[in-house]
Amino acid sequence: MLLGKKGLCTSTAILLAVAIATFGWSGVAAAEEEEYGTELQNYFSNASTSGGTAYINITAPLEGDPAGATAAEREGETCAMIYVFNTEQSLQACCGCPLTADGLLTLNITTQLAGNPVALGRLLQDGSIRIISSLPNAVPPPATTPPASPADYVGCDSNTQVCCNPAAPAQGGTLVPGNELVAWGDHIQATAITETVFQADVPTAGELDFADDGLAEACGAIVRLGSLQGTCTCPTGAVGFTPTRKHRR
Amino acid sequence: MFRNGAIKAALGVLASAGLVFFAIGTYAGTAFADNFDEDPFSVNYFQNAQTGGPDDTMRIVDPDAYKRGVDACANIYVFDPQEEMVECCACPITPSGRLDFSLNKQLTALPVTGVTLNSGTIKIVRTNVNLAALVAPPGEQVLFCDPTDGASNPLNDAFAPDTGHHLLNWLTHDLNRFSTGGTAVSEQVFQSTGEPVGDFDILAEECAVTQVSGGSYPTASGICGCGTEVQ
Repeated sequence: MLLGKKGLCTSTAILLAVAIATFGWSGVAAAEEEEYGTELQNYFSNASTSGGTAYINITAPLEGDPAGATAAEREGETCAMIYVFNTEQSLQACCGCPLTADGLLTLNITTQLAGNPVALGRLLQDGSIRIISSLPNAVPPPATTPPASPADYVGCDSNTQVCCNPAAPAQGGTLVPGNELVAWGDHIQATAITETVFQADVPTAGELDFADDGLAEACGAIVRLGSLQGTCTCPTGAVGFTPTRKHRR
Repeated sequence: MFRNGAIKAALGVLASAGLVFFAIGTYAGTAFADNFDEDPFSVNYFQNAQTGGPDDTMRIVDPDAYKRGVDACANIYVFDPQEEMVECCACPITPSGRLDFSLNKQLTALPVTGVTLNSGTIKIVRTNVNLAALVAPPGEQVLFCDPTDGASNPLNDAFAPDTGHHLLNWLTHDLNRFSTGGTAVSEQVFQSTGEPVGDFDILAEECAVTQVSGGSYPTASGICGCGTEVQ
């Protein structure tokens, strides 16, 4: 008996201590702020009121791959899949907007994000916004005469010929994370407008996967339910917009 | 006895946990600080530039030059919303120095596209300085800082992201969107981007194209202006 009862007690105490400390630290670590990521979250307040106009601004800081096989890869194209929730945690609107490296997406919270909630007749003034960075997951519809009228919640980059569908129907409702994003959001307060950076996180499988009732599936459901009520609008618009016009690459 | 022993054991566990927690926390805290400090890349956005409204100010501070005693280059790349690089420049910053920039006059006044630049993004990359510039004979045009990394002169191919060191950068945002006609100003620190070092080569190459496209003095565009250093 190299280890007596006392030694065993001490070992157990040390193990317990490490376990408690590790558990405690994981909570602290989780609370640390991240600045860039593939999932961003912020809140919005007092949309559609006379308090002013608030915007969110999103950029994709990572450069494209000059040796990429597709134009989208060379441009560092990323989809900002945007999901707008009310304060009761119900998804009210969604849209997918293409964004190339160092580009800037600016969206008016009142008119482009919260103005068309699925809950018809209920003004969406307060809630939260979740942005998932995803690889492009759709292509523009073929040219027809007269031109097709694509849903404007699916943003497309006509230069790279890719689109961003927040419901990801072609992937069975599953999102594939893309490049990291950074975003800022304005907040309409009682007497002023403030601004904070979106908090970054890593999306869970439950948020990405169709099998787990993820965000894309929820988005598809409200778009079907609302007959296009429940969509937000990309500043890029649908087919026809050309966000990329580089000197090179 | 058993109760006293159990209480003692529990207290021992908690005290040990506290000590371990403190140790891990101290170590991890250092790691977190290091991770943040290590990123030479950062990004911010701007809006309402060149609108006749209030100007915005960008400030750059070198937080650790005091320790190291060497200068750094703040390589500044300005993009329009469509990710077109429209201006670029590189500004030396001395130990503990601060550079102040006017958004309207120095960062968005001369976009290479010729299109008025109201909004976009600004990326700043901290690199080393080229000390060869201090001893180069006149006429060789060796630069202390070069945002193109020597695209037009191989002697200036001497820059790399200053891994392990960052710059502290802030930019005011003229929100200017009160429906009542008032103004609102916010200020945001530049956000670390976590980019690979190789992104600097892409930015430098793009900057070279931007500056060549912008023509030459005195009608050059595509070049931003270095700010005023505040010692």
